[in-house]
Amino acid sequence: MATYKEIRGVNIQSRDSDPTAVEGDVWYNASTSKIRMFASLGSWASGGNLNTARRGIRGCGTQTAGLAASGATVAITEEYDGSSWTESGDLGTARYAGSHSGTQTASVYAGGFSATAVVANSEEYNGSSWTEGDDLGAGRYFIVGHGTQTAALATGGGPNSPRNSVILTESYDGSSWTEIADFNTAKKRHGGAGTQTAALIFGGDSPGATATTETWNGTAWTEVGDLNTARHGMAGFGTNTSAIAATGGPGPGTFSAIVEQWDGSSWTETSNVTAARRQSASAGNSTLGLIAGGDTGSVSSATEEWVVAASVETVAFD
Amino acid sequence: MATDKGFFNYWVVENSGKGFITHDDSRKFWIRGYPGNVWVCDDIPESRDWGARNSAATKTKSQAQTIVTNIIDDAKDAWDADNEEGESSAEKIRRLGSKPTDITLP
Repeated sequence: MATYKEIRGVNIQSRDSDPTAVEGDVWYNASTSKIRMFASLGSWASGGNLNTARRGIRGCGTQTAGLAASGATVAITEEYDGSSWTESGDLGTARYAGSHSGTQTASVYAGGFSATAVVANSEEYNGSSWTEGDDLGAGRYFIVGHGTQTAALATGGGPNSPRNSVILTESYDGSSWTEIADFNTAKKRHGGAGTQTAALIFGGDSPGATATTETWNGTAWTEVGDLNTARHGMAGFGTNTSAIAATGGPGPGTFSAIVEQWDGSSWTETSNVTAARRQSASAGNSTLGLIAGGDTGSVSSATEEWVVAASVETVAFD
Repeated sequence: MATDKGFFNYWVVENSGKGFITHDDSRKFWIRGYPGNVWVCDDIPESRDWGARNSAATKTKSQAQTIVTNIIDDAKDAWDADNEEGESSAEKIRRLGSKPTDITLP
């Protein structure tokens, strides 16, 4: 095991008081005779409940200005203000598990599964209502959306054959979808984060749960560090250098509370959500995020909010 | 930090939304929600305060497990009964999601 000096370049320092610290700093506070450390602690707390419990919802936006659209199999759209969800204009096509990118006032929803079939159509949201946009090149469901309404990516998914997954990436410029690249491991029911030019995809159903992670630089996908726990049906939010992979399950009908944090090179397990689930909506970034709804064994309306708070902690010894 | 180990309290209470579980709560004790509004917490004073604050009903482990099992069994029965003519099992999973599986409380 590496020593503190090997990792930080110095031995643990003695200080008269707590210094201005960065993540991972450890010091001895001579005034209180305590060893102290600076850590960022993430935790989950209840947010306002969705008005309609459902699974297969797709979210975008932020923790205090979130948007959740669709679900199996409804056209419902709900907006979140950091405390409560309010219904807004319905999608034109009831569906679930499409890709959803953008903000609470400007998003694009594409593909998904309607009550009877995979669909390819996309719709744009303006803060109150949806209008039809261009169709995806390939209709599919369990896709993940990245980016904004006018600069979006739709990654992976499954076509009509329920067991298949694809390696497809399509890009949206606000008017049309264009296939631009393939990634390495086919995925649907995966998690995602980031933008049109800097995206991250992780986990998913390949078929079968996969732990693989790939990062996108605007031109090509590169395989990077795997999740610690292979699973699918997870929620994701953040960027391609700092992201959260929450919940999911290792197999059909299974539900996980596991949360992992991505630092740009590897995944580390962090605080679990309070209710294991899959197929939730997600929004936000790696320090302020949320998941909402999903399947916990029965459909859920619950929202959980993720917050990372930096704090100085006293190190205790047994 | 709370862990999955140790003794637990079993509660039944509906998630009331914002403030039901706070960040302070989840940093102080382990808590996990299950179908049927069942919640399992570390048995420590902070979690007992949480239960009192939310007017949660105390259950034994056996009672809580029965609630969860009944919910899952009902969901399984509903899944089995929901069929469409000519639908393959894969198509059914796509329409309804996978059949729920048993959950065992800690």
